Amino acid sequence: MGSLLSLTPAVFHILLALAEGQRHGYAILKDVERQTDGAVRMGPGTLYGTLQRLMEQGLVEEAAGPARPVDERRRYYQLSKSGRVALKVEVERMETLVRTARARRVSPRPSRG
Amino acid sequence: MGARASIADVVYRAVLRLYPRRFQEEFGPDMALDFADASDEAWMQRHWSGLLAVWFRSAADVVRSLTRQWMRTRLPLVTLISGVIALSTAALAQTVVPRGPFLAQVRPNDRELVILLLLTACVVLVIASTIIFTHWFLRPLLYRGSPRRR
Repeated sequence: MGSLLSLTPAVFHILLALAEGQRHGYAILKDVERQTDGAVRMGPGTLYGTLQRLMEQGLVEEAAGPARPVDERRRYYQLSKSGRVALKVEVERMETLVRTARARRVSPRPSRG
Repeated sequence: MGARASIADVVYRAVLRLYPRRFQEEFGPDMALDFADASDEAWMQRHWSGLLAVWFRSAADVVRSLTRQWMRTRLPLVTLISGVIALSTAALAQTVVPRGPFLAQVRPNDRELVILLLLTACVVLVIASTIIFTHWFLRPLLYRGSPRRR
């Protein structure tokens, strides 16, 4: 899947985790795990390395956090406007790919269970 | 689990010191918190098997991200280039210095010592200039972007 994405899988999953609002690092890790049914388990090194790059690119920014944070030591992150646009463009691109694949009768294998 | 987790947390925090300083200062505390939370959760769900899985995953993640972070600083590349330049200069000096006209004025007994001193001076000069060059001229390239402060 990686080669089909213009965003790397790690970047895409992080942006998707932040699409619902601001989250701290551990919440992003858990969300990515949920999104992928446990297939992708990102470690803190990968997460913060990617977040660092995304902040440099202006796709993610640090957020103020909730009014009553569960843990005050945590820092929160949120999508910037350009981050939201990048995610939307990527999803549209993936939708187009899936439509093309379906038109060519390439259907996914039936899911197990 | 308390003591075991604490030892693992201490080890993990010690390992975090291997990251480049800026990354460590910016994300180290969050990484330590995430590791501690992941360990606690794994212990509550699956005890030792869960804890071991978190430790192995974290070890692999550290190795991967540590390499990536150091490569991002470009320091390994600068070190390699500096080493190659220093060695080449030393090799060049080794062929040029013994034939230098100034050696005619040195007594034959002192000649080897003078050559050795000149070669050492060359190598030290190259290393010093590489360090100065790296720090003053390559700094903007090596450390792109300003660090975030809390």
